[in-house]
Amino acid sequence: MGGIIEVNKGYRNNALPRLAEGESPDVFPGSPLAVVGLFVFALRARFQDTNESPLPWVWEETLSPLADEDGFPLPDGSPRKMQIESMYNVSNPERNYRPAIYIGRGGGSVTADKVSVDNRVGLHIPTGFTAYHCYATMPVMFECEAETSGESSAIAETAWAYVLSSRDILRRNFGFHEVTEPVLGDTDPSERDKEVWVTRVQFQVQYDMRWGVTPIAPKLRDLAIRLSKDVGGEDFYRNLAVRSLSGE
Amino acid sequence: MPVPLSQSYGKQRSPHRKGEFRVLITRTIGLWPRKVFVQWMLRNPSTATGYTFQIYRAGSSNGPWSSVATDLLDTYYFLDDAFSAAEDRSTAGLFSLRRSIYYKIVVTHATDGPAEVIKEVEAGVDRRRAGIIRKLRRDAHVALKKGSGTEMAVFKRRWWGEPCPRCLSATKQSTRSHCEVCYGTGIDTGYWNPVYGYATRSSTPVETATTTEGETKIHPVQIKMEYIPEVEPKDILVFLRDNKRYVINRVLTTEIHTQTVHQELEVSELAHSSAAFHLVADRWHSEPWF
Repeated sequence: MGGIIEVNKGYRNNALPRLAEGESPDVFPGSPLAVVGLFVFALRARFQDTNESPLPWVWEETLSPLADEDGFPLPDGSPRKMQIESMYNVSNPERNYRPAIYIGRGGGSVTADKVSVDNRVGLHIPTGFTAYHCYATMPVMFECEAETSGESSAIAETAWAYVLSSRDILRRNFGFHEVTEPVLGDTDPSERDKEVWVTRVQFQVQYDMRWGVTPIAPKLRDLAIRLSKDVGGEDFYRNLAVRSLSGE
Repeated sequence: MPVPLSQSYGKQRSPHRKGEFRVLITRTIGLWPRKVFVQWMLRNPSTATGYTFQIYRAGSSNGPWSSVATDLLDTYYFLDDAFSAAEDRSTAGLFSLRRSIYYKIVVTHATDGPAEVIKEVEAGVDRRRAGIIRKLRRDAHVALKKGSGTEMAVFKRRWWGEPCPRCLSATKQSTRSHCEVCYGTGIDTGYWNPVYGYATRSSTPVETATTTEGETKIHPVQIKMEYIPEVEPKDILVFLRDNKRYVINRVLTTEIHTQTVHQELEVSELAHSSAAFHLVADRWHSEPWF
């Protein structure tokens, strides 16, 4: 994923790099939100009813229950609609909907792993442009919720096997450096409005992070002028510190 | 002439009283963990012999009933020992600390009857105390029906029975909580027939909890209801006026001489995605209620 960031373009426009037109201005390829969004998309594709092997659960755009003329759910054999959602959409009101898969980082941290000295990988001497690279490692967690432990476990097993068997495809198509083998956690009860069973699937993804820094002459000149105007430059730094303390 | 009273259960004389032919269950006592003793008597029989009894058992006072003994001729007690081991869910077990089991006895005769009676497994008391308890139960019923209560239905969860024909896995575990057959219980039909009654519920705020996946609404409520049916955790309560449904978390019984007078429950309102909303309990699908 990080491999397709257009670093130069993003930098010159003073904006975050974009994957395509029309994307959210706050989410860029390689950001944790984008990785979560990718797995939301992938899981939704897995649970869509267009798959050849039908599942007892189906993801659809709307969670409105299927109904016959009496307003009751469709009878025997109809797949149950399932919610597949990012954990970051906290304002959605459907959190009491089950079964559901919530995708997030699971409380884990994103780390930037150094692979070269000070992350530097290149320098363009005429412009001073410095290129950097590292690997970002990010945990991903699926929380599979259902009203029975068996259902929660079965949904989690499906998601677990899906990630395990498609690791290569995910790496190849989305630029991941690594997608680790997922871990299928235990199925635990959790008290919500009633007893809800939660099974967690956890794994890590690793992807390239690249960025560059170009010294901009006007900004540096401005800083130098301001420093020279103050006596010795000492007052400048002191004012910066004192002003924040005195409330000026 | 005053009716002689006895302080010991089952020893008092049964005074003759004119009235209809009927059958009374005088004792249901659990001989834990394998047996239940049931004893009954007839009121106003026309002859001494020739009465045939059918014994039924269920997990709710409204059935559906399953037969445990048929055609008992002039027998007035029955030792029900058809209870399963703890791991067997095909028939009732007596290992739970709170399990309601109801017996129904139907009597037939050449000239009398038929008549039937339903009673839960519970301790018996003598006639005087039974009168006090009956009065208190009636007071609770009247107070709920005419005062603070509103119409509700109780769905007692099935804990034994035929396994679900659709969703049960090889490990006897339900893999679909919204199965239209067992509603996630793993037992065919999931719940016993609804029992209708009156209850009052407290007005409490809905608690919003922020969990890792977002905001979850929780609505704990206290409920007071009559003594019958005796409920247990995970039974479902439906308030028919607003169709709000609750799962029972705790049951607090008010008892006099070990007999329940009324029940106070701690329940939680079910999310509207719950499988319990597939249970049919409203005036369009059951007997007229309002």
